[in-house]
Amino acid sequence: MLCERCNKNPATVHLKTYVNGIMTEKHLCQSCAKETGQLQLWNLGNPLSSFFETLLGTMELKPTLWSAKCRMCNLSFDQFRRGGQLGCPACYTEFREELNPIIRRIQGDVVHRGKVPKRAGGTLSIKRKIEQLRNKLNEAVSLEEYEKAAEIRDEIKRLEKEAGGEL
Amino acid sequence: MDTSKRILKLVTPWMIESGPEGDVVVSSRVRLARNIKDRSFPAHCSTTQKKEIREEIKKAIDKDKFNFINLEDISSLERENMMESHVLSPQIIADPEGRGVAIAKDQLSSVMINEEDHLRIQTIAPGLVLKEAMQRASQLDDELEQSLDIAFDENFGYLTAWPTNLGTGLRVSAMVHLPGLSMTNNLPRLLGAVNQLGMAVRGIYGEGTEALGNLYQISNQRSLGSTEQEFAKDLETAVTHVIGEERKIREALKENSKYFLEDKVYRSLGVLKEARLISTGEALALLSDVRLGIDLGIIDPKLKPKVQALMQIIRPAHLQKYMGNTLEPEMRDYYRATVIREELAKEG
Repeated sequence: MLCERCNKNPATVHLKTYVNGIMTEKHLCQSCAKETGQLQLWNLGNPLSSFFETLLGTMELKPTLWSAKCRMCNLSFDQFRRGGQLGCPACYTEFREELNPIIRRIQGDVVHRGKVPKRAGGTLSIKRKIEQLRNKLNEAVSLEEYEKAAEIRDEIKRLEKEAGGEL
Repeated sequence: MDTSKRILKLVTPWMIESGPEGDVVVSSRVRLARNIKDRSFPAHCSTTQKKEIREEIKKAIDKDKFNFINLEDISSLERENMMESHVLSPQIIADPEGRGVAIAKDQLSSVMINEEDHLRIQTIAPGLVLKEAMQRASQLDDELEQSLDIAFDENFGYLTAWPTNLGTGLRVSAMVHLPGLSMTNNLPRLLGAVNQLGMAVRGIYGEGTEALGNLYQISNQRSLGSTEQEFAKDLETAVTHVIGEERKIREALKENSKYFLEDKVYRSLGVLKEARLISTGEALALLSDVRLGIDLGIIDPKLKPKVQALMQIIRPAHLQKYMGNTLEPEMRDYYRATVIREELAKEG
């Protein structure tokens, strides 16, 4: 997409604003956004917290959400909106549904694929291994390597047992 | 021509060593953000709660390998000194109460306690050595996890105070010296491209700090959705591109503007050797020119460790430690010039 102001550079700044309930969208390149002052809000105060306020302003959220509180640390969603930091690890569980779209916007993803801690990771390592083995199983079946497939199936069964009732 | 003992006492060895791709990459750093389960993040803790968390972490740290420091127990000059050495962040020294740091005896690893997260595991090494720095950080993380209940979620990964660090909690970065790109005005274009690759570019002390002496930090922006190795690989690709561009420009300058370049380098060395008043910013800019001169073979490479040490020593807290007393800001420019002059005169 090209910048709608200069029609020359690719648009990298996408702005959605709500004025009196009407949404307008703007797609600008970096330099046009700077020239029209659209990037100035990034320089006010803590760049991250104003970022969250701007981001959340562009999302449709239930009005009742603002007063919702984390049962563990008492942080309200409104406090998070203004400050950008969560209150405690449990906030992620308490506000999971609301945080999902926000995290997707920031990180481009909502699923962790990196390191799993040995103690706190629970059965995640085993689950990931089972997933990999299932892919291998499908591959073996499609290649008609039934002996290999049987071996993989047994390994999956063994791991499922190891993970216990959590699966 | 040896770097004087007085300087060596104040800088950590990695600062004066040159690693792989050392003509452009000064150092590689890795940071892992970790938190303890069922505890509020530091910004939402009282001082008492912060002290409890600090004690809990202290117990988990290997006393044989680390020195543990409560930040309110040391002077502000010491704290600033550690910030200039990249052990502490500007954020943590702004409010030291209830916060702490554990520094490995080899000074290549450290753990900031109660900064924005309960733990910030950090490793550093000279040159472009991301893999090695990552391994060391991950190993230290494993050791700490044995006795600390780390907050982890099957979907979100490691839970952090800012959602921007969620997942791996990883920030991997390289400090690069880019005088060629800078003096030919190619920096905005290149850094824009690096940005588009999903990398952030910052000044020397991280978030919100200015770039001094043509030094820039390039780091990953996202922390969720890929493995630690993939994030490091992406950064390495971006940094390798930057290294290539900087080298191309340096070669072109050498070819087309030999006398201009020699003149710039020797003038800067001349000012450093003779000036009576010099600010941190000016000193870093001139030392950057001399460093470039060394990397291009204009100046004797034996001077490099001393130039690298001076880039550290002339920063305000280091300078005051070197002089052995606190200095009023207006006197610092005088002593800074004196230190540089004396150290460079020893070259003979």
